Amino acid sequence: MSVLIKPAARAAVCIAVLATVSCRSPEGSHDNAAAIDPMGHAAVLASVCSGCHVPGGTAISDLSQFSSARLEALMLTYKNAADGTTAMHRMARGYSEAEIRTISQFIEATAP
Amino acid sequence: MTFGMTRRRFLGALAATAIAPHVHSAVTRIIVVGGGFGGATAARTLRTLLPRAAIILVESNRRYLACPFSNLVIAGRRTLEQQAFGYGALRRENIEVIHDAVVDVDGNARTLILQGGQTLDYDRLVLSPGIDFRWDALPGYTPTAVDAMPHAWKAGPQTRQLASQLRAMPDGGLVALAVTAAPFRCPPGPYERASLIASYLKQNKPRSKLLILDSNDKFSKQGLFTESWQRLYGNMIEWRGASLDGRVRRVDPAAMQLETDFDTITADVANVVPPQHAGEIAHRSGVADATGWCPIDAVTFESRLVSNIHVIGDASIAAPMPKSAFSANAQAKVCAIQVARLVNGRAPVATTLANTCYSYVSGDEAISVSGVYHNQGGQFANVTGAGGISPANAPIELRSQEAAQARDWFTAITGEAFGG
Ligand SMILES: Cc1cc2nc3c(=O)[nH]c(=O)nc-3n(C[C@H](O)[C@H](O)[C@H](O)COP(=O)(O)OP(=O)(O)OC[C@H]3O[C@@H](n4cnc5c(N)ncnc54)[C@H](O)[C@@H]3O)c2cc1C
Repeated sequence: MSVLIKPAARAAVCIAVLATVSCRSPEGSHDNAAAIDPMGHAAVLASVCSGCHVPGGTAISDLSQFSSARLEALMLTYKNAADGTTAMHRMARGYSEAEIRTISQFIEATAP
Repeated sequence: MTFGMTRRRFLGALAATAIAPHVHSAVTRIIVVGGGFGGATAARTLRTLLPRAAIILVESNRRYLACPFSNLVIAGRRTLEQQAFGYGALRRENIEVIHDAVVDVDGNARTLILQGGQTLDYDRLVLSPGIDFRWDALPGYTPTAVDAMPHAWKAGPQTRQLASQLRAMPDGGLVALAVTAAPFRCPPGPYERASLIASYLKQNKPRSKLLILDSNDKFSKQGLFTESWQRLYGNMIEWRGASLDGRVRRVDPAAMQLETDFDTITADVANVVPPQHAGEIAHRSGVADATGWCPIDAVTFESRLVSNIHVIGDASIAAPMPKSAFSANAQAKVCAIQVARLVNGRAPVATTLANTCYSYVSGDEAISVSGVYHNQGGQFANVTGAGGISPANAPIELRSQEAAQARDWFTAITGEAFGG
């Protein structure tokens, strides 16, 4: 499939949701790459995020800039801020701490 | 199965040579019908997850015109061209895009027929046909009535029609907005439209009025909309709920009249959000039930009526998830994962989905509603403690911040569905 070879076309695939492993460098330098299951539960949980968060987003942050630890901390802050009213507060409350960790790790491991 | 990267790239390369369109072979064939927010996202996700399968998208139109932000077009804040998206990126990713209408589906034979006469077979079918209108449901509102009384509930010529009627209307005129009973596409959509029509009128025809004739007694983000209308448009917008004789029973497009139980309203512009059901092809396929919508298993999105057909987006019964582009996109990704698992002989996995709908209350301010949903007894249910709406009486800066978020959301979701 030529999309996996041409860099420009590959970038387009990476914008699509779960294009995970194919977005990584050919050497597969990332530790988590082999463990990431693009059809797994983590992929299901994290799939919703890319409906809003894109590279270059300003009002909605670009998640690829964050480490998984930072993502997890941010999501937990949203979840636990009792008086928070943003869309992220309202949504983060729907996920358990374990789910938040899973999502954060998946996003870091699959970032373009 | 967990792919290591090298293996996955290798399989991807293999897929390019293995796919021979229309020839049934050992290659798994997944057909997606409808290239809107649900279908286009589903096709792209399936392409990534199933590099060896043939992924075929059938969509009637060569260009997709997005409904989200089309109310800004009506208000003169965007052009219809900015709503248009093509299928070039999907083709480049080796999705076979066929521009034709599916006229019939045989769920037993697992075949479908195109208007052009061709028969295609599938292993699994994903339907995301959106909505069609129930022309028998509102007396007087026929397919020819839409010139005089546009719905503009599918973006395109109807959006232009409503915009040009508003421009032609005299200052001091009356705009009527008739809203059908729920469920319908985009629950906050009629009220966003009212807001943006009012913003246009305030600027250009400030003596005019907007009357909402509603078949519902409450609506999405009602408190926030009402508060914004008061602040931004004074008494320009009047809302009549179902119990206040707001239900439109009949329309007369020649006379520009809308009849409720006790009243007849003559309008200068009449925008009718008509009764709706799942797209016609869902009915032909046998996946719609007596409600007019498609019952699904909330984990896999597989139809409860016909096996091997999955239904996503507006056509599906996914309440409490709203019929939104956000939902259609989220459902598409999750459905694609489940289909890929089934193709690979893996059991479906439990899911959690979310939705956020932004609505503009003026060209520069927006409000939002969010929810998180999990599976319970084959249905969707709200995750308790999550979800909710923007705060009431918030500073304008917060409303404009949400408008900026809405713009980023639109970029993200159209990029994910149609590519950059
Ligand atoms: C005014 C308005 C404002 C909105 N604003 C928002 C918003 O701000 N946020 C939000 O999330 N949602 C919004 N929505 C809702 C959103 O547009 C829909 O929920 C979304 O489009 C649903 O996606 P879908 O894939 O189910 O259907 P669609 O996007 O309608 O796609 C269906 C596609 O299927 C094709 N099709 C149908 N039948 C066939 C067939 N037999 N053969 C071939 N092709 C076929 C159609 O041509 C169409 O392209 C708004 C809607 C309206 C009307």
